[in-house]
Amino acid sequence: MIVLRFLRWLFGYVIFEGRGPFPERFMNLCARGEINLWDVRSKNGVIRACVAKSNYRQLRPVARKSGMRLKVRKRFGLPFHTRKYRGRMGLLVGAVLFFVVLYVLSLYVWDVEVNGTVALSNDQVQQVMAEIGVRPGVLKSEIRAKLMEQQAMVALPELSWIAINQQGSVVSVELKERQAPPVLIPEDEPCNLVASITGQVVRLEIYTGSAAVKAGDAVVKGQLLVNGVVEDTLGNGVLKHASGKVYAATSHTLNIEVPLQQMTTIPSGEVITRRRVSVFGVDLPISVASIPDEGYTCKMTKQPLSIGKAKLPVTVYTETWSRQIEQTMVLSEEQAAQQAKEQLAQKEREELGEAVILNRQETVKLENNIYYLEVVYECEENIAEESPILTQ
Amino acid sequence: MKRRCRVPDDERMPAQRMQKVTSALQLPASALSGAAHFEMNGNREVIVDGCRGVLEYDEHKIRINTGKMITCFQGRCLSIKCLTSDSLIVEGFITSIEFGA
Repeated sequence: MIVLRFLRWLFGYVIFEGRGPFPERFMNLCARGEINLWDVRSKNGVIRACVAKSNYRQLRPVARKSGMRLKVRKRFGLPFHTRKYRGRMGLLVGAVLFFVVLYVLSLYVWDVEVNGTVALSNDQVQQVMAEIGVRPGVLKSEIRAKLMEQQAMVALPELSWIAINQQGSVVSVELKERQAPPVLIPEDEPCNLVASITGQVVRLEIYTGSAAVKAGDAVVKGQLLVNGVVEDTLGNGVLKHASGKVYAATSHTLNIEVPLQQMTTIPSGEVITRRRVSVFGVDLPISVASIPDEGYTCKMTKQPLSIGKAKLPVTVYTETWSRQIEQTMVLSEEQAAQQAKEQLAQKEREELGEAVILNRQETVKLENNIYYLEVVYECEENIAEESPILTQ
Repeated sequence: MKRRCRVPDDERMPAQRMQKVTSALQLPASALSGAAHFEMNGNREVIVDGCRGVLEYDEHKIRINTGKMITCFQGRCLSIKCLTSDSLIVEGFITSIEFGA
């Protein structure tokens, strides 16, 4: 019934009144002429009925034959509504264009979301996905999830599992990173423990093998600390994979040199800004300025557009090129000392590693416009390192 | 003595023959007779198939030609919901239906 009413509204219908001496003849002629009437009511000799818009003109000869006078009372339906907009075809064209554009845009990928990263960065994963063909601007029909999942596993060995899902125009990448397996001690490879640096033995922690030195002994680099050849109860030598820790007091010296006169580059204040818009992966330049010659540094920022929480496939890239000029800078002694300290901290992390610093002695010297900093460390560290025993 | 009206034999035969055929084939009585078909929903709506025209139309009485007889619907607020070349739907409060020749 609802479908029938919708169809009648879609094609349009009118309610008319008929006055005359023979309303029954009028109705019979309509029925015989295949003109369907509905909702026919009669009151005080006046009949009121509904007829489809396309059939109304056919009523005229019928009304003339039966001596009826017809008058339209109301008009219903889509054709009567759209008649008002006959002169505004642009509205219809715009509406059709809107739906066409919406449909075409929905065929493409708008955004790629990455979930589950821990050690890997989202940018890293997105870059790999872009290389295998999963990126904004790609047709959704071109994404072959199974094949691309395998390609991603090959490209990123840190992954243990990955899934590519499509939800509308957003591709969601779910992944799980691999947990590194524990380092296994090769028990079947015999080795000794030797000193990695010169020092004085403080204490030993031996797990496998026999000690070749004791606490208080001074050892040089390469000296045997723990022997991998162990005598059994019968006096036979058995090859073992020696393991353990040998802590010794060691000495390290770090030198830092900071010249007081330095060449640095500083921005001159001249800035050139270039902008471009990326829509579905296609770059469209907004600025007219070209890439400047040498002597400029570039800083790029990107701003993806979004409506609420929904990301649009449109990103604005802004490049800021600032001109750099070289200038000679003269440091004061305090500034040189500060720089030296920063460099020293970096060197400590690199060279001393996990060594415990027991004592340090600094020597500062300023000579020939160069700031010298020398630091002598007394440390305690594990100096045992494995040295394989050649059996053949 | 009352004179009886006798129907000629040749006119009686087709109706009797048709009745024999329908009963032998176990068909509905009106299947081959061509009579109008009435379908009622309570006393509010009647669907009539086999209507040949409207003879009288008023909100208290609707008379229609159903071929071999004339059917009269009486009631109140009667209206024709739908009218086509061979069927119509009468709706309203029907109080009586009369069949006449």
